[in-house]
Amino acid sequence: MEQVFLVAVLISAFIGLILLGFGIRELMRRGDTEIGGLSMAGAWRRIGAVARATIAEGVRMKMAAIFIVVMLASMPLLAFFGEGDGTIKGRIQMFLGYVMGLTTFMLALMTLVLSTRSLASEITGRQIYGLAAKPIPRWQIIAGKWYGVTLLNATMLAVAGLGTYGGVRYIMWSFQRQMRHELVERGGLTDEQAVACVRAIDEVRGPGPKGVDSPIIPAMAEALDWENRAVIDLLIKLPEESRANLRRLDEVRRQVLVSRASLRPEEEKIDEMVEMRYQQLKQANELPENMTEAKVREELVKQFRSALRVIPPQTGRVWRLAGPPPFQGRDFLLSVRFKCEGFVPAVQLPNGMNLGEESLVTSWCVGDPQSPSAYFWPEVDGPQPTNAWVEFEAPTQAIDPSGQIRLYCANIDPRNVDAVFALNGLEVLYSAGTFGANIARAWLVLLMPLMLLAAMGVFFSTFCTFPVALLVTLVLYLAGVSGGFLAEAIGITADIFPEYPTSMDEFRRATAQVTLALLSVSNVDVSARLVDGRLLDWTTVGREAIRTMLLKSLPLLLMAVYIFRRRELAAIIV
Amino acid sequence: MKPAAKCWIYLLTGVALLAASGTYVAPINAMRVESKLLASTIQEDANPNHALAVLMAIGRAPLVDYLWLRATKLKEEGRFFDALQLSEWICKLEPRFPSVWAFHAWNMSYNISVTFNSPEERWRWVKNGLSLLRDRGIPANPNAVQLYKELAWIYFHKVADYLDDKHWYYKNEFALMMEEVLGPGDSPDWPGIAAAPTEWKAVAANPQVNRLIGEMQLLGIDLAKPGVMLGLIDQRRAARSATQPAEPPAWWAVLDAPEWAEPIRVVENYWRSKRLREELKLDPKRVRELIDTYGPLDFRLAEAHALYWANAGVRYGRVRAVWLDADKMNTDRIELFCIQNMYRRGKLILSPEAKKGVPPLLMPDTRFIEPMYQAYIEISKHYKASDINTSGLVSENFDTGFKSFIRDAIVRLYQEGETTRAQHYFDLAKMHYPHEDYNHGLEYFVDGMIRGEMKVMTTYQAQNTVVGYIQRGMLLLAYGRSVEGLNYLRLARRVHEAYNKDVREGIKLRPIEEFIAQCLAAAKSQMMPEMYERLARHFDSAAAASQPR
Repeated sequence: MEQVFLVAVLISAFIGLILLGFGIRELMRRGDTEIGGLSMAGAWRRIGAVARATIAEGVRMKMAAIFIVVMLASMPLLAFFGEGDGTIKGRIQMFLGYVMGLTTFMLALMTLVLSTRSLASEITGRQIYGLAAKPIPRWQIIAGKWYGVTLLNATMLAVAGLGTYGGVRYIMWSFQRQMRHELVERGGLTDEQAVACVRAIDEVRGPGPKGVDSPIIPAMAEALDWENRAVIDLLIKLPEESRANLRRLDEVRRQVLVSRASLRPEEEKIDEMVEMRYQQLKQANELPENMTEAKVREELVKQFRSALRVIPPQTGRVWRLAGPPPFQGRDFLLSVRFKCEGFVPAVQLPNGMNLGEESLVTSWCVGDPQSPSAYFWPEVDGPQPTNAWVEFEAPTQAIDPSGQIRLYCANIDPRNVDAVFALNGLEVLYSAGTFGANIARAWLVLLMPLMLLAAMGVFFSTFCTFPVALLVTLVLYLAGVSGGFLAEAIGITADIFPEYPTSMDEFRRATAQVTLALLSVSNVDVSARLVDGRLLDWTTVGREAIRTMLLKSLPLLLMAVYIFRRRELAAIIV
Repeated sequence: MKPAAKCWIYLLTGVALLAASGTYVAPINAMRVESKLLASTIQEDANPNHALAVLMAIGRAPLVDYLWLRATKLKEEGRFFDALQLSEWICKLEPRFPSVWAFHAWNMSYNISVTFNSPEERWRWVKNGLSLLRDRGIPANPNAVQLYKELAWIYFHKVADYLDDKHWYYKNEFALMMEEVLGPGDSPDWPGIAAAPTEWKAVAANPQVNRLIGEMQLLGIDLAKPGVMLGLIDQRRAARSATQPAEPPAWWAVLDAPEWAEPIRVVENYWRSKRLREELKLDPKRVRELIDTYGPLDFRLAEAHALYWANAGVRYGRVRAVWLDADKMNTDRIELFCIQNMYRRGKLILSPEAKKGVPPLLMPDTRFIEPMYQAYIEISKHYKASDINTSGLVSENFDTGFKSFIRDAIVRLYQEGETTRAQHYFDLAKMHYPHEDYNHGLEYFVDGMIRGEMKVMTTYQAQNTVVGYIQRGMLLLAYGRSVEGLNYLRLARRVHEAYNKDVREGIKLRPIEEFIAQCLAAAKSQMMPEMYERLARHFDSAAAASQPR
C-alpha cells in the first residue's frame, strides 16, 4: 500500500513539474514580441558574449577592483602576520577561517555592485538600446549578466583557493624553518642535523605519550644516530614553547589538514517511550489535571531527552555510531569530542588529587572492550573539564572497516554526581577524505551563495536604478548572513524561546524562521568546517546546490526575465 | 580713538597675553608628565600599534561589536584558535578602555586556560593573558590602577597560588623563564643590572668593554648582537658540568680569564637589563628599589612580579580622584599578601631536572620576617587612631594574626640558627604581649612551642609529621640541597625523640631508621633516576662514613 502511495506521489510530482514549466513558459510568452523569444538556438554564443562584456566591465570597474585587491592582499598579510592562538595549529586555523570569511565577504560585495550596476546603469545610460536592438532575446541578456558575474566569481575563488592552499603550505614551511633555526641556535646542531631532525619529526604519526616517552625522541635519535638520552638533553636546551611545538606539526596534520567525518549519536526512539509512559500515567490516573495532553507529552519528551543525556554515578553507557568507511591513510586517527555540563563541589582526594568545581572524572573505551584493539582513555584516571569541549584521539584499529564505532563512557567521579552531556555534546571524528579534495569542495560551496547574490542583483537591476538595487541587495545580504544573530536577537532560538510559548510566540517564531530561511544565502558554515578539518561531503554540496540554485536563484532569474521582457526600455515619442 | 588703532591695541594685547601664558606651557607640561596626567605621549600615539583605532575611526563601532560577538560565539563553541588575535584586535580598537584589556586578559588566563587538559596549553593561555596586560594594556593606559591590579592578581593568584591544578607547572616554567633572563640562582647582580646603561653605545664606550669587543671580534663573535653574550655564558656554564672537549673553543679562554671578568660582567648586565625592560617590562631600577624596601625578592617567583606591579599601580595609578578607590585598596592588599607569601614560601629551590618537568620546592624565607613585621606596623598606622586598646605593637584589628606570626617567626629563626634575630623578636613579644610563655627565656619558649605541638599529637599525627620531615629532607637532598635536607632529617629525629620521650611504651613510634628505609624505597619508585641517584649517593656516603675503620 505504501509503495503504491509513493509511486502516486512521484507521478503527481512529475506532472506538477511539467505543468510548472509549461506555466512559466506560457507566462513568459504573454505579450511576446521580441526577436528570438524563448528560443534556445545560438543561446550559448550570445549568453557568452554578454558574459564576456560583463566580465570586462567588472575588471574595469574601480569599485570591484578595490574588493579584489583587498581580497588578494589579505591572503599574504594573514599568512605572514596572523598569530592565531600562538600555535601553528591556531595560525593555520585562523588563516583558513579569515581568508575564507574575508574572500566571501569581498566577493559578495563585488558581486552585488557588479550585478546591480551592470544592467541598471546600461538602462539609465541608454547603452542598452544598442544591445536591445540586436537579435538577442532579453532572457539571454539576463542569463549572460548572471553568468558573467558567476564566471568572474569562480575565477576569483579559484585564485583564492590556490592562495589558501599556498598560504597553508607557507605557514607549515615557515614553522619548520623556525624549528630548524631553534635546533641550530639553541640546541647547537648543524644545519644538516637540524634538517634531518625536522624530517624525522615530520614522519612521526599519532599523538603518542608525552615527555621522555614521546615518539619524537627515538625518531630524532635515529636521525642523528644518537642515544635517546642525548636527544632528551638536546630538547631540554630548547625553550618550553619550542619543545611543545615539536609535537604540533603532526597535530595540525591530524586535526586541521584533514577531512574528518563527524558522527553524533542518533536520538533514540523517544516517541515510543513517551507513549508508554503516557499510557502508564493515564492508567494510574496520575495525569496532571491542569495540563492538556499535548503539554503532558511535550513535558515527557523533555524529560526523556534530558535523561538520555545523563550517565548516573558509577554507571556507564554505550553508543553505537555508524558513518562512512574510514579513509585508510597513514594519518588515520579517530577523535572523540565531548562536553559535559554543570558544577559540582570541589574536593581533594586522599591521594592529593584536586577535583575542581568544573571537572568530572569519566573513563572511555573506543571499540569492543574485550578486543585487543580497544582503546581506553585516559591512561590514568583524572578530572576532565566540564562546560568545555574535551577531545581525545584513538588509533585506527578501534573503528570497524564498515564505519561502525562502539563507544563506552563510564562516570567514575568519586563525588557521585551525574555526568550530564550538553545538547549535541558528543561527537566522533575520523578521517574520511583528503584535505585537498575538501578544500576544492569548500570553494564550490562558497561559490553558490555568490551565484544567488548575482541572481538577486540582476533581478533588482531589472526594475530599480543602481543605487536602489545596491542598497536593497546589500540590506538583504547582511540580513541573510546575520541570520543566527537575528534569530538570537528576536528570541526564537531554542535556548531563549519561552518554555511555554503562547500561540503568538509560535506565530512569531514561524514567520521569523520562514523569513530568515528566505533571506539566508548559505546554510553551510564552510569556514568552520574547514578550520576543524571536517568533511564537506558531496551530499552537503548537492543539498546546498538545490537550496541556493534551484530554490532561490532560479526563481529570481525567472522573475528577472519576466520583468525585463515586459519593461519598456525606450519610450516611443511620436 | 581710531578704529584701526583700537584693532591694533586688541591685537597686540592678545599676542602679549598669549606669549606670556605660552611661557608657562613647558612647566605645566612637565608637571603633567610628572604626575602622569597625559594619556600618552605623541610618540606613543604615533605608534603603529595605535594606528588601527585611528584608521578604523568610521567603522570602529560595528567592527568592535562584530569582533565581540565572534569572540563570544567561538568561546561558547569551545573554539579558541583566534581568541588571542580577536582579543588583541578588540583591545587595539578600544585602547583607552581599561576594562576591555582587563576582561580579555582575565578571560584568557582564567576561562580559556582551564578548558585545556595539558599544562603546556594552559600555561600558554595564562601567559597570553599576562602579556596582553603587561606588554600592551598598561603601556597604553599607564594611569589605570585596574590594569596593574589585574596583572598583579594574575601573577599572584594564577601562577603563585595553589588553586589551579597545574600550578606547579606554571611555577616551574616561570622560574626557568626568569633564570633564562637573569641567570641561575636567586641573587642576580641587581646593583649591576640596575646601573646598566640603556644604550649599547654607552656600554661600548667603556674602554675595558671596548677591548673585550675587539678581542671577541678576532674570534668571529659579535657581542653587540642580542643573545650572543648570554648564550656564551650559558654554554660555558653548561660545559663546566659536562665532559671537557679535547679542543675547547677559543672563546672559553676569554670567558675564564680573570682580567676580562669585569667587562664581561658589564656586558652581561647590559643584556640582562635590556631583556628585563623589553621582554618582561620590568624596570631594573625599580626592582632594586623594591629589594631595598622589602628585602631580597626572588624574581623567579611570581609573587615578586605581583608585588612589582601592585606597587607600580599604587605609584602610578591616578586615574580616579575618588575618596575610596577599590582598585587601589585591592592593589594595596595584594602587596601585603605578596610579602606574606614570601615569608611563608619565598625560598625557591629549582631541581637540576627542572627542565624535565620536576617542580620546584618552596620553603619559608626568614629574610622576609622583618619586611612582614614592618608591613604590619605600617598598615596599623591607619587604623590605630580608632583603636580602644593601643598597648600592642599593631592595631587591634591585626592583633591575633600578628601575635601568631611573631611566635612562628621566633621558632623558625631559632630553628635556622639565627638566635640573635630570634632573641630580638622574642624581646619585642615579651615587652608588648606579656605572657607566661615568655618568662623563662628564648630556649624554653622554643622548646615549649615544639613540645606543645607534640603533646596534642596522636601517634598517627606524630608519625605523619616525622615521615613528612623525612620526605622533605630526602626531596631536598635529591634536589642537591644537602644543608637544608640534612636539617629536615635532623628535625625528624628531634620530633621522633621528643614524642617517644613523652609517651608510654605501647604507643611509641617505630625506630626512625625504619621510617627512613620506607621513605627511601618509596622515593626510588617515585623519583626520576637522576634524582634518586643523588639521594642514594648521600645515604651511601653516610653509611660508608659510619662503617668502623
